[in-house]
Amino acid sequence: MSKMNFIWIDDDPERADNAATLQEALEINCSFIDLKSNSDVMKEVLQGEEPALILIDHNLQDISSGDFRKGSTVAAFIRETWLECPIICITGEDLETVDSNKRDQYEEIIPINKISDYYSILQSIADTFHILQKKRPKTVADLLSLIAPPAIEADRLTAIMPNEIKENFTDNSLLLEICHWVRKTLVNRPGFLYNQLWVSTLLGVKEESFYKIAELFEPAEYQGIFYSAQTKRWWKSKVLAILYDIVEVEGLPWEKGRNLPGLNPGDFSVCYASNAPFPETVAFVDETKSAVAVPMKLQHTITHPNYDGLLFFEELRMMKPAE
Amino acid sequence: MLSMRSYVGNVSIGEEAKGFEMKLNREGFISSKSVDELKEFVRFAIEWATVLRDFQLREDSREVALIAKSEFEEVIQKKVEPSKIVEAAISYLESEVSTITRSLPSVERREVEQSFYKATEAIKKHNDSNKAELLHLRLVASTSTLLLIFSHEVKSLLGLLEESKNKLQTITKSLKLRQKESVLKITTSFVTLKERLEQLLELTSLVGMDHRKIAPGQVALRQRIAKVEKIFELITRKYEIEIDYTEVPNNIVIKKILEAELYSILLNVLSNSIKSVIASGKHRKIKIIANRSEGKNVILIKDTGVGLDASQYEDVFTPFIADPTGKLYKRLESKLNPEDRLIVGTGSGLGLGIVKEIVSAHDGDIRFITPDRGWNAVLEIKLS
Repeated sequence: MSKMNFIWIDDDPERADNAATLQEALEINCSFIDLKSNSDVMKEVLQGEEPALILIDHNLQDISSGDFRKGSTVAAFIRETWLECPIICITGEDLETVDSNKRDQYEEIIPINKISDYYSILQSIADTFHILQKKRPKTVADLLSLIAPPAIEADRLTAIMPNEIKENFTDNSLLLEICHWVRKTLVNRPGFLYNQLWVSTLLGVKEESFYKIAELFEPAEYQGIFYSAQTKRWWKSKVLAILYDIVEVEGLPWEKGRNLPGLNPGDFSVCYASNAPFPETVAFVDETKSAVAVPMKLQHTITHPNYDGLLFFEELRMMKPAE
Repeated sequence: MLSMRSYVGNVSIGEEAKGFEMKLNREGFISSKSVDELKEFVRFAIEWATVLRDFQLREDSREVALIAKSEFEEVIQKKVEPSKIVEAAISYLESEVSTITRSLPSVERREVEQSFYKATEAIKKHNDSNKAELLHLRLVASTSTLLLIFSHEVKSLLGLLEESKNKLQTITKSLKLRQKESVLKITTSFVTLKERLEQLLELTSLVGMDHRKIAPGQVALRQRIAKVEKIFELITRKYEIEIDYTEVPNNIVIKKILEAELYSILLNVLSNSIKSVIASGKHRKIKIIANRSEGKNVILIKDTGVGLDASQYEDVFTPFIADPTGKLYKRLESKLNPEDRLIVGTGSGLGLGIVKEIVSAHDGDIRFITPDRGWNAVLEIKLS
């Protein structure tokens, strides 16, 4: 199989090394475009073959031409020609400082200092766009087959699928809409899919002990489009179905989960706020961006003020301060 | 000194001055006692010309503001909190205007009221903006511009570390097992260093952020203590200092505070305790306790340091009085390795003053209390 082609656009020539390392790590071809020495190079690039993925530096301060100052402007320029090419933002500044309206131009924003943490995500985005371009979904059913949910989730997923997708299967930017919804909502927000913390809390187990029972729940692992080993997810309904098959003892999922084979009392989850057993949910410790999420009893949590409720998704909560 | 030109201007050295011999490359002087004395003088001049002068100006304007406040209080026959003086003055004007305009015809009355409303809104908005700016300045002042520049440089270093680590990892693919293990060991040390730098950077980024764009919110205490403990880890390990915060419940949350403000409080307070226990030299223990009492979070920071005389409990919060009796820094000097001075701060005398300002701005309280048995100093902070 021929290697995928990536393009890395930057105004810092030293980042050519980063592009070369990425090329070796992912076993792809990565062309480095130095905007500093030739700011008009973009027109030439766009006459070439469309790559599988583009990485752009968000701040392009060092280029001589006045055409581009931000990567998001270059992204918009690229999309005039390559409508559905995934574009990833590379930034050396704090992620929070990238304006929200500029964020939408990118499929992902990656801090240059942590790029290796995102290798599998970059691979998954490129792979998925490749699949989507070859097997472009034409109906809701086509898209669902690419997401591969448990059969019982199909109706609910169809109900919450954005109209931008459901009513625009012929649209030129369909793939970008799909990418946005699947990655930012379906995979990112707990509801249909749970991350390891949520799934272990659901089963009444500490996150660090989940590895003891992970094999039992392999059939529940998400394998659909944009799957990435670094951001594993499990279908909640399938996890519950497996649990109810294995454990016959009556009770709530976090009570039943304690009867899974191979666990001992030290593996059982406890509420972060009260240390009480059987935390039913996951909540942030506070409302700051750096707050960690931990298992908690519902009674020790309140609704998180910074997240809107979404139909069929979990309500995001945070710790209730001690009174 | 050359790099300080923009601060100092030119320093003229008279013909009679001795001990100044230019280096061959003409970049500075050959080290001598005279050169050291000149450096010290210039440093003092910079300090005086910037920090101390600003402090004096601020004290003068505060005095003028207090006189104006007390005159206004006489008019309204009521005491007003300093932070609410503008609101109180506007409210007073509103009632006065309402009384005066009652006698006017309705059209004119509406016009006057509308104009007055616009004017007071402008004052209110301007006042809010000033308050936000003050908050920002207070935070920036608690570090230094140099720290922010340094953090920018650290970011570049982090990028380099990441790239080197990634490059080494790709190289290992073609190496034999033994060589692979050696190279992976190097990458592990890169990762450890990177994580430590990232934690430091996280704090400096928070302080350097434009806080006019961020609203204060709920911030959990224990998670922040853990991070600050990590920042001081190198020094606490080296000097065998035990920091115990097991009695800080997970659900103690400070309401309506900026994350950076809480870090600023913890960094200053803990660095003081660390300095004090190093100076005392034995049983180096710091204990943090938190609980809820009368609707407030009460945080106690106890240490086995050099202690503080009860008569100095107030003085230590006064700017530039870091060590009223002088015993802390004298002892610290003999016990602290010079290379570690920068980690715990050199005693500008601003730390506790800044902490007090932040705590007071949130209707909180901070004071030293009589230590219980086994401890030499106890600082109590009350915050909502």
